[in-house]
Amino acid sequence: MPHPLRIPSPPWMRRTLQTLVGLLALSLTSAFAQQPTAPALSGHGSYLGVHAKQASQQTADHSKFKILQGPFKDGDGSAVTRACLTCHTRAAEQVMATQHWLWRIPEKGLEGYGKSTNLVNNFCISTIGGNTASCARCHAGYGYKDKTFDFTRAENVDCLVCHDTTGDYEKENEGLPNPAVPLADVAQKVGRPSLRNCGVCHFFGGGADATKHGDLDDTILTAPRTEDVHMSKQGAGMYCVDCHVAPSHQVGGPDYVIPADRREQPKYAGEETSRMSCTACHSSMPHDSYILNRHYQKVACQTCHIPAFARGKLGSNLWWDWSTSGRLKDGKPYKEEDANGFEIYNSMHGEMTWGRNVTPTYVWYNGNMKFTRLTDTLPATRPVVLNPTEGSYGDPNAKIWPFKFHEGNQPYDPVLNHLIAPYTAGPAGSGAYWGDWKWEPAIKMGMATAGLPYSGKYDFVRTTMLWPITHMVAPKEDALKCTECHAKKGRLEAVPGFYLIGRDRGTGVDFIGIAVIILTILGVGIHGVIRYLHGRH
Amino acid sequence: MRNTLKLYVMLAALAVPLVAQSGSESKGKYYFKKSCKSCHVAGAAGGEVTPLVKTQNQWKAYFAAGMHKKGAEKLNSLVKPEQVKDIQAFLTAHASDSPQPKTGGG
Repeated sequence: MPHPLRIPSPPWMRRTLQTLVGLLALSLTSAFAQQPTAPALSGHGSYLGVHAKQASQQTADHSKFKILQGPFKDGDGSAVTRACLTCHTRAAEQVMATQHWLWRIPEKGLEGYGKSTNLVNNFCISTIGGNTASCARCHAGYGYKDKTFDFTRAENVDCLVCHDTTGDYEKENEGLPNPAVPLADVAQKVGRPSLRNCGVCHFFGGGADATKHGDLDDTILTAPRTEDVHMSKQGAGMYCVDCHVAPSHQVGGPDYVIPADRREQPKYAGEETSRMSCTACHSSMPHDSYILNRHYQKVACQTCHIPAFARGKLGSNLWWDWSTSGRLKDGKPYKEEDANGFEIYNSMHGEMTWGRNVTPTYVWYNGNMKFTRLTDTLPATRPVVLNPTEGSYGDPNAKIWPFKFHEGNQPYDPVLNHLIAPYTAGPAGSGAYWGDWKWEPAIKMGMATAGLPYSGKYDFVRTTMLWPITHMVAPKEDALKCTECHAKKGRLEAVPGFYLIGRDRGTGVDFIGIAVIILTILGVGIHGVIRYLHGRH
Repeated sequence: MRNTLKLYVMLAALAVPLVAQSGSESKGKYYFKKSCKSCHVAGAAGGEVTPLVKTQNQWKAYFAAGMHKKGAEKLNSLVKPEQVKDIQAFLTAHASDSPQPKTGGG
């Protein structure tokens, strides 16, 4: 006989009770879970503490070393380097093996890749046409003014540009320190490179802040988390070298091409950690959803997690027309800005357009790019694609990647059909374009300095480039929603080679679907008609 | 011997004012960025100041007066006197009527 109090309750009541108890338990546990520590802003916590700890754990206080007391002669960076090398005896040798020093890739098959050789782009075009001294403000060395520079001289390595922690270090032409830099003070406070050390050059690619890359600019130093979850101090507060790990001064990076076997593995044999890919930290299955994880096979993380580039306060350059440069007012160069403060004309560069919050261009990409060199014959197609990407749907290493699309109009030799390295950076009377505003002498001198043939004729040619977007990762709530791509006029509208649900129509799949529906209706209808006719219900 | 000494003294006397007068343009660019630009950028308290906001003569007059904040503050009290000379050299070299006018310190 059942207990009098145990009257079976109706099922709906049981279910409600269960739900209520469940909710209560959930809220209690989550409240407890949150109480002991404040929720971390960046998921895994912040690197700010890590960096402070690393700095405090340095075993050497450089201000105690007699050799760094100076005084150093104004602007004598080499004297500081000699002092550094008395203890760090192999440091210069290591630096001299890197691209930061060589500005070219010593590997076979990549001859002519690098700023010190024949590589060309559609921003500042080329360094080797006589612009080396000016461009060398971003060379990790001292005294690089032309091709006579001695790449084997250890004391010409610039230690301070990467290891200055004071912010007082600055480089001038030929990469020499500004004579006002308090060298002894800077040398006594050296440390691990922070965002600023890398940023003094890499934020300013293309000649000015935010110009070239689209996903790297000075605003990152003070960025809110929404601009870059990794580098923002509100986010993870990471430094460049936290991902671009630099064993033996070899800073990890793509080196123009990223061979497939290197991309998601340690870059150097024996390297204990590599964080050169998202998956190195986040794994290849970071989502709760199986379907999202499967996207990783064909879609780069960056594609969804960087919804737009140039998300800081600055615009990135999208169009650079050298053919319109050189207009003068009263014999003097001038600039024009639009309502947004973007420089739409500068006599030095020509007409330009800039963009903030720009939607990337999406392309199948397996990590390989071919770059155009000054020695390469241009293809017949216009515009000339300066760095065609490799990859397709069928390529197992290729994924859909986001890029900054950049278009330019730059001088070329229509007779020999190759691009031109003009001499741009120089004072009046030198023949340089920015001094005398004449293309003929600037090109002639540039090509002579570069040691390349020039027919004597020039014209302008439209060129395009693609710059991979991989920084400025947005918070996960800002990642792309499904319908951004799975839609008829979505972001992947022009990405070829495959059937994309929500985008593609009129193929066999649609035909089969419609056929099934029609056949079902027909089947039911005929069946009904037959039953009706036979009078059986 | 005495004559040689005299010559040295004369040369030194000539050289001192020369050195003292002409500051270093590249040092000046550095100090201009470090000191002046902390207030004199677009949107900041001092308003934007660049070399080409004045002509060479205007800069000369400005530094001859040596006053800041429209005469309310001595320039030398803000920046070391030798740095003021460097800054003057930089600003004058890139003034609006100079061969190489510049908008910024960078």
